[in-house]
Amino acid sequence: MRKAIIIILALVLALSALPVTFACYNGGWGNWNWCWRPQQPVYCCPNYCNVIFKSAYAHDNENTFTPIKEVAETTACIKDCGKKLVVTIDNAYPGYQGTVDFCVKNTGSMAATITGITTDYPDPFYLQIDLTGEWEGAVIYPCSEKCGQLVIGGIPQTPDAQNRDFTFTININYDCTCTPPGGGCHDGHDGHDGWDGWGNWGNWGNWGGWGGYNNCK
Amino acid sequence: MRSRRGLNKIGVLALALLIALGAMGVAYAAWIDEVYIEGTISTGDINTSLTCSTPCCSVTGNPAGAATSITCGSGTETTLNITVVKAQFSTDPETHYYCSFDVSNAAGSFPIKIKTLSITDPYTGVTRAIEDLAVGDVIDPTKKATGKVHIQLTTAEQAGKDLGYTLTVTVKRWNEA
Repeated sequence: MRKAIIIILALVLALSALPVTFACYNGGWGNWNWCWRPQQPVYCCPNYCNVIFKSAYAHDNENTFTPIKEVAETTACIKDCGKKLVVTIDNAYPGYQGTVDFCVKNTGSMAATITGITTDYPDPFYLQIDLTGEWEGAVIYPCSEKCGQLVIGGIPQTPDAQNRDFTFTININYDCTCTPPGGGCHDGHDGHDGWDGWGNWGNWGNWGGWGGYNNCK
Repeated sequence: MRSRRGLNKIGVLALALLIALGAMGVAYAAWIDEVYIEGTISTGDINTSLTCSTPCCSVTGNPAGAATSITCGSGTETTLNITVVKAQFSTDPETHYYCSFDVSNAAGSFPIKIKTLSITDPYTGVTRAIEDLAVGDVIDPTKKATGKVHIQLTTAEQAGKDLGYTLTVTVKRWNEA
């Protein structure tokens, strides 16, 4: 019995050590400042990266029509402590184009590298979505921002496009990459510039933005 | 007893694995993350109706007091049937037939624009015109616009007959080319 317990404990320790060492080796997790990689110290404490939506500004092309009418409306709202940007277009029609100018910011002290953009919308015939800007592989250094523009339109001139709801999701995936410590981002605008090694600290609220422009409805 | 102890060992091992794998997941989450955009687009619709106004029709300048009238009845979604009953020709005063109709945008969510506006012209010696509404007029949601069909006999050729007309009104979204 004792032998079994020792084996189990060893197993737990070994498996638990694996993620810790891996995280440290990759540059940032927790409160250890003595992690080393061969030939090079890794400043993993208290380094982390945390990309959040910092600002979002929604507008549309209705001022290009004659006569000018306020018919549809595009709104953009930052939620979940900056992790989610909710875009809503109401009463859209063929020719309407909603645009959201947004910026993401790395509030951590490590660089974040965009590893991929995944766009998912089940009705490509009825919707056209363009995300402008060079995102793939882009590096967002601590305290810096990257901005882009999301253009939504392409509603066809067909009767079956009327009175419908369409949805889409765009995921911007990133990895934390090891860079010399930047000392974190303490510009005082983010509301949660403290410990955020998990990327999710306080991530269950609906604050709807902090500091940045945000036209939530 | 042996089997119970065996089961306990497996249970503890499973728990240990669970904790360890959980820790791995937490650590993984520490350096891989994402932000995402979630969008919902709701489209509106064009929903118009063409109806006879209430009251719809009138006759002016009927010195003989003849039993003449004009009626308006529904046709298809985009048409109305207008009939001049026992058409009267008079020059002093002139006899005029009027029939008002409504183009309603009460149920639609977009402004609409009159695309076409026409009335058939099957008779000689009769003029007909559409007044108070024109192609290109814009009607906002919840509003309606009223037009008027004006018919007049210019000769006695069709006098005493029933004259049938079809009014056709089509609309489009206000920003449509």
